[in-house]
Amino acid sequence: MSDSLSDLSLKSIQEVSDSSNLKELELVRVKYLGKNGLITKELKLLGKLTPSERPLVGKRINLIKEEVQKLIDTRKIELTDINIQEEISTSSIDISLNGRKNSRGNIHPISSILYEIESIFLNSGFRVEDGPEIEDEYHNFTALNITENHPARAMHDTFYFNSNYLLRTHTSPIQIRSMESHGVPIKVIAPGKVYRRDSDITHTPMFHQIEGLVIDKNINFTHLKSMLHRFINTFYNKDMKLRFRPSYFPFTEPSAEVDILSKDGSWLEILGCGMVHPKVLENLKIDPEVYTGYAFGMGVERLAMLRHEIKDIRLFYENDLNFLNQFK
Amino acid sequence: MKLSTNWINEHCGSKFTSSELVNQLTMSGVECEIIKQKNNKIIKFDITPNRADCFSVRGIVNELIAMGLIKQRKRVSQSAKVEHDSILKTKIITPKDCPVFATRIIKNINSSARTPKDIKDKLKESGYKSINIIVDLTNYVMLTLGQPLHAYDLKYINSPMVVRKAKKKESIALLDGSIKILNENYLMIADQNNLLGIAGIMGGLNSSITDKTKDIAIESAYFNPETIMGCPRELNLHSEASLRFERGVDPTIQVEAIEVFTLLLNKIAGGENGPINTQIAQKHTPKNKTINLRKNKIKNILGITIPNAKIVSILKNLKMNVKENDFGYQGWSVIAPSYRFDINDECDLIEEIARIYGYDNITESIENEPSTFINESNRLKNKKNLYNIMNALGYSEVINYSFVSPVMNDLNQSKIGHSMDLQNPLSIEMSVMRNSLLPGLINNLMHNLKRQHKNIRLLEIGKVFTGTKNKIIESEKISALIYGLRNQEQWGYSSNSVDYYDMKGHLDILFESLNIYKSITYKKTKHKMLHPGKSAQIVFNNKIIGHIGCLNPEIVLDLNLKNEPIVFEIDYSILNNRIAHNFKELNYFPSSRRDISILLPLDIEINTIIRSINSLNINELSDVLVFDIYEGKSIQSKKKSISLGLIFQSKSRTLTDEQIDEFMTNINQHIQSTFEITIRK
Repeated sequence: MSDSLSDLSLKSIQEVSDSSNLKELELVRVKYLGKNGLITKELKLLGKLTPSERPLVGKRINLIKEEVQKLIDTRKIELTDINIQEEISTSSIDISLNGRKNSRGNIHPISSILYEIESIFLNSGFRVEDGPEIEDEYHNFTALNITENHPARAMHDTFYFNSNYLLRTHTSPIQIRSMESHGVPIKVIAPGKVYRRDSDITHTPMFHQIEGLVIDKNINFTHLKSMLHRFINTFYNKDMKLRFRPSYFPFTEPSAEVDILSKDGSWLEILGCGMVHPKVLENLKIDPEVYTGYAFGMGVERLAMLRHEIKDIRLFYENDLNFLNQFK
Repeated sequence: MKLSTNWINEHCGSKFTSSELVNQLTMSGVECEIIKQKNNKIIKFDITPNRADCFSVRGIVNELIAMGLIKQRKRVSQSAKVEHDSILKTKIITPKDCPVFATRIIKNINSSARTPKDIKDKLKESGYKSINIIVDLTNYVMLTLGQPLHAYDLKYINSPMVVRKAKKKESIALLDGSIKILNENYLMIADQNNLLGIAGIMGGLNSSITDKTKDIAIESAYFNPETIMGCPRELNLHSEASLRFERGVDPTIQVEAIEVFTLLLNKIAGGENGPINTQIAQKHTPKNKTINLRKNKIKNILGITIPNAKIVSILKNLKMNVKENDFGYQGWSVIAPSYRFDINDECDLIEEIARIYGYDNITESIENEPSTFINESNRLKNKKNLYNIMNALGYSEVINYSFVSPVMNDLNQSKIGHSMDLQNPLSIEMSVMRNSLLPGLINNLMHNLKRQHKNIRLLEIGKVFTGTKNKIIESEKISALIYGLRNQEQWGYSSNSVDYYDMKGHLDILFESLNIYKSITYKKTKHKMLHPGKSAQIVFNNKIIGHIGCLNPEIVLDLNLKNEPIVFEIDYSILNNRIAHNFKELNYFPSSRRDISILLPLDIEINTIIRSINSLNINELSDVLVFDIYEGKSIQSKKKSISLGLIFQSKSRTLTDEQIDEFMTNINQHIQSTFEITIRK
């Protein structure tokens, strides 16, 4: 009896160490330790032994069982490790092959610049205002001190619907509307589409502007200069040299154009600005003796053309994917 | 206006280089640049509408004086000798339109005299052709002083000369050969029989100067700018004279201009001068009023303190009359010179001081500037969210013109009221305001297909316009179009063409991001642009917010497209309905899934079955997914087979098989009794 147990023990130990993969090892485990395994069977036969023999033999079988199980566990770890090592050393892919993808679309370059400018001013405490693109004469011209016969009306080639309605020629009417609805003090920017009857390499009949307006007590030209300088530095992400040069807009006085110094040493005009004309304030029943303010406006296409070195403005509205996909 | 550097220097006795002049004048607000080709000796001026006074050599020199670059010089005025006493009788019918009108008759001119080289060169550099001595000198005087002159051949004037408004439908043949039909808006120079010219704009052909002219009448006037304004535009006739008159010439130099002209003419081509006949309506000549300039207002607007002496010297260099005033506040009484039509108020003076003092000399400050904290506005949040989703799904943003051709507007059925038509479009293709963004996207599709793009996904955000004359409705839309393959061509994917459900899935992602996905429903609809069997209204809280669908096959055929484009157009304002994503307690109990296959008639929408299941309000039913749809062979005709996966999960316990079986029995009974369907398994 004890001899056959020794044989069983030796045989099973041998078979465990001989197993060359996890499947074989599992067969060995079932053969000896499974429900009907050879060692399990020996335990079931214990009942046939005499009460005096039983404890001793039982202890021996259990010891064998534990030992075999331990050996199986160890062998399992060894075999798993061998498997992984083999997987690591033999399998590989062509890492140069293109990844699978669907290409991402992109934001129109004009929209990106508008978004960027809006964010910069939002961070400086400006609110964003919107207004109608089909405007009336009053908001587009009269309220802005551009009277019917004012020479500045000749500067705008206006699209008309009838004697009163037109396509706004600038975003300035939004300022009037926001002052009408919010009063002063006010600190807003107004981005949007504007329209002029013009079409060539540097003009499209529709383009985008963004305007800003700040009105409060004690606002003066030094604030205007500072705000625009900080804006331009932020937009270009470096310290920019600029010059403010006297100019003319009917709704601001003093008025200025702002030029930046370009890489080649020439001055590039990028925006117009000035102190809000007292007549504009009076038109809105705001006392110019109490409140003063500044306004500024810029053409978004121009900024986009300068940034991306685009020469022909019409490309923005051809919507050719070969163009649009360059601004990922 | 173009002037040579040489001429300007000659006029003020200086030796500026062209670039010195351009730099200085630019910084005083006179926009100008050197014309590169001509040895850098010609400067082109772009005068802003407020500065009529700068339209001459004298005007430019005045600017140089104002900037303190040169000293003011006393002007010596000379008069030509009067040799006979014939005058041209003139009658000003409407003196308000013509406050100053001066004429002189000059006889026996040698009109074949050659224009001296110096004058000819200057005129040429300014872009004027030499015509004959008389015309050349009128141009020369205008460029020198800013006063347009007009010379008539005296022989053709039937005196007296009359300044009057045109009669309706009167017509005139002009110097440039054109014929204009007039109306009561135009101020005319006429005689007893004929019209001689449109005042301040252009002279008539019949009385024009020729090589044979011997006797002339020279006219030098001040016309009310408001009378002239608008007329050149209306006639599409912009002359050098009208440019100056409509902005305003100096009302005090009409006589001086005739004298300068006469002296030059006598020297070169002889002639016998009559006296100058000047008609002035004092009541209507512009007079510069006294403006009170307060010292503290200068500080208030500019934010800096400029010394009093500096302010006074700036104003004096601008030829303003300056007196310290006694109004009890510190300041001055200022009268601007006659040619400065743009100086009417205190703020005009402050601008003058600022520009001459130099904008560069004004500091930067952030003191007292109002500032508030502003959360990133919903506007930018909405936009960022939209871009993130749509760009990731492969859509590229386009921007189209807001005006389209009427044909494109007709493609869209939503013709509420009538379309907004432009009175003066650039072309018929851009003549009406778009009522949908979709036609624009289809145009972009066609353009890019021609450029050999195969898989196209486009997005546009913009306004559409509908309404009536009295009420215009502008509404902002988000529109998109997809065309081509679902996945771009590459290894390891076999790709099908996109269909309705791809685009619907994209909208699902957008609505999920707004947390309103469950409030959105789709209803079959008829839309002129869309396939009636493959399109839907999108409904949110009982409101139609847009449409989705395959393009109408008739349009697809017209466009000769291989595949079917799918489009949507929704209200931009839906982005404002975003609901905060509230945290839900995590559920750690296991979920179980049961699948069923249902055979149902083709015309029953699958969603109605799912809604019906959901209406049982089984809390433990956490999701229903459609994992297979089959129509065709092996299925009865006019039927489809769908397979649903029902996911059960309780928040408080692990569900037993028996519990789930009970739910399933419940569900099966419910849908079988509600619909004409067969449960297959």
